[in-house]
Amino acid sequence: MNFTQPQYRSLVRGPFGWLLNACLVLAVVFLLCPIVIVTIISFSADAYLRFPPSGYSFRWYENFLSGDPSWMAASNKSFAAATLTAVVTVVLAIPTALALVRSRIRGKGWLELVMLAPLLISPMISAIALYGWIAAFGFVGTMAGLVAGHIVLALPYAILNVAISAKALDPRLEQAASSLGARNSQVFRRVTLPLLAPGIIAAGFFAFLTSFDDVIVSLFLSGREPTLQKRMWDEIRLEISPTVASASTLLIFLTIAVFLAIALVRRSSEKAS
Amino acid sequence: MVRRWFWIPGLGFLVLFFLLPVGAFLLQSVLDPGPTFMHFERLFEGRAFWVSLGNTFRISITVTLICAVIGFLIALRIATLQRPYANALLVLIVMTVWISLLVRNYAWMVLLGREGIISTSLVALGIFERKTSLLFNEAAVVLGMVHVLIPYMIIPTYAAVQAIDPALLRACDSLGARPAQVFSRVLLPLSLPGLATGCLLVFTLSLGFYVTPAILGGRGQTTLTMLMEIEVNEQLNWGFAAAHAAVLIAITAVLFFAYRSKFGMDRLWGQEL
Amino acid sequence: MTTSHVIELKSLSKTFGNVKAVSDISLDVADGSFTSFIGPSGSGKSTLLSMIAGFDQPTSGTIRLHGKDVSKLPSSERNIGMVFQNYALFPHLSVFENVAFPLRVRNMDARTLTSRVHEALESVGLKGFEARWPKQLSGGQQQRVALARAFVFGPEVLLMDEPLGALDKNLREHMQSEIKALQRRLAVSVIYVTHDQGEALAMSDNVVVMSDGRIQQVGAPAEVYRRPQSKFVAQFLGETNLLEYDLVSRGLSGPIGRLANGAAFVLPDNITDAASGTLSLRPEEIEFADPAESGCRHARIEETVFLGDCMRCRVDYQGLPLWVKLPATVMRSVPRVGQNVALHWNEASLVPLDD
Repeated sequence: MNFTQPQYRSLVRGPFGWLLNACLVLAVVFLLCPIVIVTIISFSADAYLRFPPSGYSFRWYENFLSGDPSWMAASNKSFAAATLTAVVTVVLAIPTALALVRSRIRGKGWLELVMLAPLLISPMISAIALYGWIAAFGFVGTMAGLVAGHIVLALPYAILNVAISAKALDPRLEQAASSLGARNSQVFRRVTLPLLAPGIIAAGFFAFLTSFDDVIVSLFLSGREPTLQKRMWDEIRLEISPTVASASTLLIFLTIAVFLAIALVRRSSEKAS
Repeated sequence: MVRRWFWIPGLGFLVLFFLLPVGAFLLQSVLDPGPTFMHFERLFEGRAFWVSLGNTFRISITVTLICAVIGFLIALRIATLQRPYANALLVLIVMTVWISLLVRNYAWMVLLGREGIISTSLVALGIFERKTSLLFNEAAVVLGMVHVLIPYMIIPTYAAVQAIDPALLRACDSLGARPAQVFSRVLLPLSLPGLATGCLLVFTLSLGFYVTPAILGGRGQTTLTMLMEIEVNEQLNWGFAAAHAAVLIAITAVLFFAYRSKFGMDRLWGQEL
Repeated sequence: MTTSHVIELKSLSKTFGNVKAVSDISLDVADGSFTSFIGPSGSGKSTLLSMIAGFDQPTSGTIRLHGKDVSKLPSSERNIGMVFQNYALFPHLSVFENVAFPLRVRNMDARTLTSRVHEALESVGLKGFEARWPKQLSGGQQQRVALARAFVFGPEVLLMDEPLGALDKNLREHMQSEIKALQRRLAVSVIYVTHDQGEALAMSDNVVVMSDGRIQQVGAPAEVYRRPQSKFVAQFLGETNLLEYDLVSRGLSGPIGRLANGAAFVLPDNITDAASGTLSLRPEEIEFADPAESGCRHARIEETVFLGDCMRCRVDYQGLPLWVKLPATVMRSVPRVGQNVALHWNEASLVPLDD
């Protein structure tokens, strides 16, 4: 079995090829190893972090799910925040992505920069700034404040995802719909939206994960009831019980599930077109 | 179909919850409590700032260099693989990006801790006399950050390598170049823009990192973002925190505009919009 | 009212920034006719079509559809069927749903809708393709779906924007006759935009030749081809020889002109009184005569190009290069380069051009 494309085979022969192969294998191990370790340790029977564990049990999952109610409360809060973030982010991202891809106005470069900026500026600065801002308006500790912070972090990537779909959408399809008698709202609902769907769904899932996995904004804006990440953060900094490992494992599998979902959506939309 | 107002929801949101808050926060560095340069004077005169700036830069540069070298080799190897294998690996790498950063850092705590697998095996091998924590030092921080950031290097460099016309490699072969020469004379120069994008992303993200240095680092790894967090949450000194933020944003902006004047914005989005 | 007009354009203009894409076009299109707009790219024909379809707003002027001013109406309210260059089939809808689209947005009841869609697909020969996806169809089949979708809702006029541009030559010719047959059967007016003059001549009742955003000439294909009014039309439609002459005298047998090479000849009667002018002489109107005949025009063959059904020769007519096109059947012996020949043409085939 040969993994390499024919035109590159001479390049990956010899010691240089060995170096490349070694890097790739190490990288995969390096990227996956911590995830595997966390999964294993989440089934530990020990009372403290120890690898390899001396025995296996579900006790830390039990603790997460029913032992200590603060974990489920935090999970529920994260879930609610992430769902809200995903919905609002997508609603904001659709028109913005269409404008970004299609309009030819002056100063578009600067508008793009504004949209990219939350990715480049440290989330710590965005979080502190927003904390101060909404404190001034008396919104600290509210769900709205937390979600606003998460949307700021999620929006650039969501816009990018929708924009990729929007770029592939031929404007003539919308002209065609309109010439066939569809009113603007019908064009949007029957043509634009279905064709943007893969990008929109990916944007929504990624926005969900961005919110669910955020630590820094939650640090300042989650208020008295922490989000799951804030709860884990407190635990890690203070006592480190393997409950964090069971929470982490659940998060890992949530991410994998989201990825599978996105892959399925892409697969089915490719089949259709 | 695109209307002028399409810009409004997304941009409006970012103005309201990102630009204005960050602007207001930065203004506090010269307006808290009244017009003053006191915060900057204190910043530049104090030792803590220079030490943490040094830490931030040292860590960021180390992380960027490691990511650049290893990431480029990995990207090169992936680009030479047959498409299905390459795609599978890329999905795997992108997926690790979406696994919670806290979870991945936590995994390193498990691995590097006193009861972790590395410490126990080193004792078993007789290299260590007793179990030792390998946490809370610079190596742990760099390791954790490379783990988190290396995908940001791999993706753009992969895109650049992959865009190289394979006919060039056949031309190299026919002209008698050895693999190392093909690499240094053709592949490397042609993938430099992708490498530059990766470096910009990794370096600016490193500068703003908080979670990893805070949980894997020790006293010697205090970064600018950690000082900011302390100033806001413990000292309640917003003006002073804002001065830190202003320095961080200034550095990021210089790097970004230098990059943009040379390479444009397209690669940063991942594609032309 | 003698004949009704499906479309009336009145001093229609469109400017993009400083560029006048369409300037001051007025035209009436007879109901039920097949009208082609031809011109090189950038001549404004596509912009004109976009304005009729309602995708572009005219800068000034009006568009009437069956007498009703539609200039300000959105595309969706004009009741115009459009076939796009790349077909613009909806990739997320099946063939059936693509054709059903205009009926669905008009809230047609399910039963009528189904029968109308089946009828339309049958008339373009795509019965049994209802469940397919656009991507699974060949170019010609996609073209037919686009066609069915454009006429299924009974539009007042069908607009076609280079609909056959993406097809290969044989299929294109086949589709030309199919579209023509369909147009006759449906008795619908068609406005057809193309840059392919052969296509326009073959299909249309009327051709509108455009360049630089203006109409150069309108008329039936044969008329426009035989009687071009300007150098542009003469050269854009087919090949031609342009002969520049000076008016020497108005003799008894008709006006006499002199070509640049000094040769004098009788001009057609209908030329203007200007001291000089240009004539168009189609290559196929020139014949080779017996050089022994008296009073004939001597020339020498410089180049021959074999084209299958005919042969093109470049001859040197006493210093003036001319193209001659000989049908294959006429060639008794294959003309050779260097051969001396005599040229003959009928005075009536000389067409005076404006400027």
